[in-house]
Amino acid sequence: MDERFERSLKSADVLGDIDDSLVTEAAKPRRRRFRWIEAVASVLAAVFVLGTVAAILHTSASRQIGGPAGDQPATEQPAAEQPVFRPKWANTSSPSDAVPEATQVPTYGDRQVFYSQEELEEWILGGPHDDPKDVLYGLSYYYVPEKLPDEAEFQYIEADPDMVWVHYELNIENNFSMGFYKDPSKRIDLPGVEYTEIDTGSKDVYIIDRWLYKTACWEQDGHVLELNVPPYYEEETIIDYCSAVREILPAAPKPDSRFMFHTEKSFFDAISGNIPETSALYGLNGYWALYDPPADRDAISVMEVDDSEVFLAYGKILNHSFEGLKFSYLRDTKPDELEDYLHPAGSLSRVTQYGDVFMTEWEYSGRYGGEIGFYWHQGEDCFCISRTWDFERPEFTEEEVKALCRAGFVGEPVSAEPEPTPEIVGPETAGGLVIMATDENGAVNEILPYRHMLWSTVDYGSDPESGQGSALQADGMPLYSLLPKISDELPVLYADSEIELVLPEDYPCTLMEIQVFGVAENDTAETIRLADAAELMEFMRTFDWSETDRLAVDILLQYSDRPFVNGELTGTAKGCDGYALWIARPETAVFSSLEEFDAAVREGRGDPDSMFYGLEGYYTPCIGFVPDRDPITISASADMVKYEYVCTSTMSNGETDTRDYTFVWHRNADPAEAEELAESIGAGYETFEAVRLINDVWVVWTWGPEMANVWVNESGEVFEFRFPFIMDSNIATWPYATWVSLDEPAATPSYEETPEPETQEEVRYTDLDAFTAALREGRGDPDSVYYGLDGYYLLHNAQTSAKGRFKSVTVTADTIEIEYDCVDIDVWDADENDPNRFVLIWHRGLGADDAEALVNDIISNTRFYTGLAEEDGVWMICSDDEEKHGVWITERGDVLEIIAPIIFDDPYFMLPLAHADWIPVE
Amino acid sequence: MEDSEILGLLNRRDERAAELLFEKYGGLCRSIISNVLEDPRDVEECLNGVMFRLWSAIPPAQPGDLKAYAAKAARNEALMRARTLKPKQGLEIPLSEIESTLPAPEADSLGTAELISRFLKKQPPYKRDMFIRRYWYFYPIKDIAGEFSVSESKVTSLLFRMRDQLRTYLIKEGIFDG
Repeated sequence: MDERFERSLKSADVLGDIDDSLVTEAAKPRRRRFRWIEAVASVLAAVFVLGTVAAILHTSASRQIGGPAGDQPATEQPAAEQPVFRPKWANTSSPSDAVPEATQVPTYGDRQVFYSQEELEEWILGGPHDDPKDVLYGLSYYYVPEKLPDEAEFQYIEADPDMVWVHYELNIENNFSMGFYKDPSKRIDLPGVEYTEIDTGSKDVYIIDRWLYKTACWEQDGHVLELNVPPYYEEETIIDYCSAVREILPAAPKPDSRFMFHTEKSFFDAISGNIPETSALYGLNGYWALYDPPADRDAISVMEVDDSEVFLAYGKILNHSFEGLKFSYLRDTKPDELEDYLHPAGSLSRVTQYGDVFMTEWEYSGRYGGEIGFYWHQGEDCFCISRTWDFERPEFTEEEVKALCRAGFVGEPVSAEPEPTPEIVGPETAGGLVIMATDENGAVNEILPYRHMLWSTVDYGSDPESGQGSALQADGMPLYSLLPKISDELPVLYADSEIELVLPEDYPCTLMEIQVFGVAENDTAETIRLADAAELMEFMRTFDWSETDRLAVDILLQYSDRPFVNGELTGTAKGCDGYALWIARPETAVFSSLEEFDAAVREGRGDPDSMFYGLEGYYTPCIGFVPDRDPITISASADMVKYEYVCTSTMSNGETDTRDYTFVWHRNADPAEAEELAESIGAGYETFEAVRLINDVWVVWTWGPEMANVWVNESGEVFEFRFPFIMDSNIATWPYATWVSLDEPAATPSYEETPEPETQEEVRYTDLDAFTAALREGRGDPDSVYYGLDGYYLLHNAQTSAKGRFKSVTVTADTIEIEYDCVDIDVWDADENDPNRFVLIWHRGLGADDAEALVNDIISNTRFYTGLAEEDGVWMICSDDEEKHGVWITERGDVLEIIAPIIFDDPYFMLPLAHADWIPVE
Repeated sequence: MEDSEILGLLNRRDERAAELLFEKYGGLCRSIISNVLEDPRDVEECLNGVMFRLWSAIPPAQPGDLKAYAAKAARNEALMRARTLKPKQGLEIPLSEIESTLPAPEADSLGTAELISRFLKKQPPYKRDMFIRRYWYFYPIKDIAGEFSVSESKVTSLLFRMRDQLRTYLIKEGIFDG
């Protein structure tokens, strides 16, 4: 083991002796997501925590149920040492608003007592208590202490028509109890009991001395709660205790804003009645359930309903905790809002996609366990399933996920089966529409669209023997219903093709209509109806393809005398067939490497028929964003060049991290419409927040999983860059594209040709033009600091190249330092005291051979140096200092240095900055 | 099972205590050790060592906070074993960061720990917890960022500033000269 590691371990040992409280506090897990799960979990936890309670007290002296017994006041327990109860609120609602009819309420004296935890759970879970004769009728809430004295033991819970009490035995002579009146208006002090009311000075809490015990009474969220304590409790202790309770108890929900049912049947019964509009149950004419619920479950279904969700739990109660699946119908969530659940602000949960189902997962920190959630939508309805795990993370295959994530609507009539799905009529082997498509190279392709039946009517004619003469009708499905199921089977027609429709020969038909569906695969909001192939071609050429890659097309053919055979019966049919296919944006060429793309551009730029015609070069993205710089694909068309990257990096913990990036050069875009482009990109994100102009870049701000930039460079070219949300503000303000010229680079004077001045003068300008003029004037004078200069360097980066951010230039015989304002530091949440600048230093006194020495010199002056990285010819001095340094050698052999703010703490952030343009001064 | 009951069993040398201890704090200890040692077999062996240490140490030790006591035992045992076994990949990063912040180990370590505690208690809870998770529990930056729902850059910057402040604080307190 090396010495440094040993020293580090010893330092860690020192830290190991910090306070215990700090250690335990930091280990507590932080839950970040699934608000509905948290809500349900808290309810379940509150319910089951009862199993740990253990003491009792008395309430009604007249009934003497668990009240303090004996006539010897205990004096053993000093009140000051009494632990503070921490009651928890629990909701075990059955319909709570209804008032029992007077003739049906149980008579006074009826009561129900539970002596064990099992009984209690049965009570909690075995509802509903919707029988007015049930003493539990109308019970929505009860209160239980969360923590008790060590010696306290749970005795029983008692419910009667008026009150619910939880009883604990503290010791052989003294008891505690806490209870509340189900109907506060009925609160009365029972007659015949002598008592003395203690004036506490506060009417928030009343204390009654009942001789054998004391009762504290207070109102909480419309409920009246009572606490009975041993008689030796001092007033202050009781008040403190009540105050603590008052602070901890959460506000009770509004009676009609949330409901809980213990079985699906009770829920269904509840929504079958007349529901007021103010109720969370309003508008439910049925409910969604898991189509294939797990077989291994107890006979419980906890269902909770509020304005936003209908929730079902399928599982078992094991060791006082719930194990199983939690299913939720997200009733106020639209499919395009589902991303909010997948990527709430700042969340870094892992998201995996299984077909149309998204899986999110996260793990507790500091202990084993975590949670897995599945999200999907069916039509316009969104759903979620989740389950927690403690020690072993459950594994799901893709097939299991797909099978699991299906919801069925349970409505009137009651049925667990979802609506039957009409069978899809697939393409037939013989006959059918054929599209002859001629591509831009003159090649003719035969396209066979997907055939589906819209409707047909069969006429067997008049057949006296069989008696068959009636017409049969087969209803099909419209294309938009079929698309999600058959999308991969549809052939593709490129929008720049010439097309001819060849109608089937095996049955007479006519072209009825051509329907083009919206801008999304199954979006029926915008259906274009066209009359024939010519209109379709015109539409394809004029359609704005900037927002979508393909459109669904349905070509409808109508027929009337189509032969039909059914066993021995023959007849004719009339009806309509649909022929589906995609039309895609004008064909693009796809390349798998930059070299391949470069060769194609070189070959095509002189060919008027090539999409690369006229190009003298092309743009590539700033490579620094992308550790693995080879794009997966390059797609090129007459309008754009798109680079797609999948970057995999290894994290410090050994795990790999994969992210997608897309860079697009919009070749023919109007710079004036860049903002509009950014807006249209934003509209494509379900989590889109706003477009903000930051440092001349339109940043398409979202809440994940991806963000984008749009900017215009000095040549008026428009670019788009899409990057993972995780990069967010760090990357958003400095996109960068490099022009790759196909011509040979012009010869640049070498470093050796630049003489050095002899002066020690230092000059500083805050005006770049004044600096240029001085350079032009002084470069021939050996005594001038500008001697020998025929140009200078400017930072290339889009953020810093704008003159508006230029701050100053300082020239000496050895260096030219150009400082820029970094601006908008809020974007990356930097500290206000951090240096907010970029500095480009041309070490004009150094040659390429001196670069390493410069790097070493910078390292020696770095306070908190952590390492040296080298990437793509740039040395990056990694440190914890407030400013980061990078050094590289230009093509001229000059040595340049960049200084950047603290936030550029990663080589991949620094690398894009390390580019400078040589600005010749004629 | 309450800690006091486990302690009671330990004091009575009841072997059920070991089982209960493992059941209650085994997961916590394992996660701490896993952040220090690379090989899962080493982790398990170390965990057994920690449990034995706790069994041997109580009594006479009577920890007021059994959870923290177990966590510290796990951390100490894991760091000790990291000297001879393969440490967790990336462990050297938090170690070197904290080494550059604290005085030489030869200094009064208990006094230093007390000052560090005092410093941390003055910090906002989320900053304090991030710091402890990184340098006491050795969690990766990514995990901390995920736990607190912030970017990794933010965690890095925040930890850097806290280390800087701690260093300044310790210099002011005369613990070391920086």
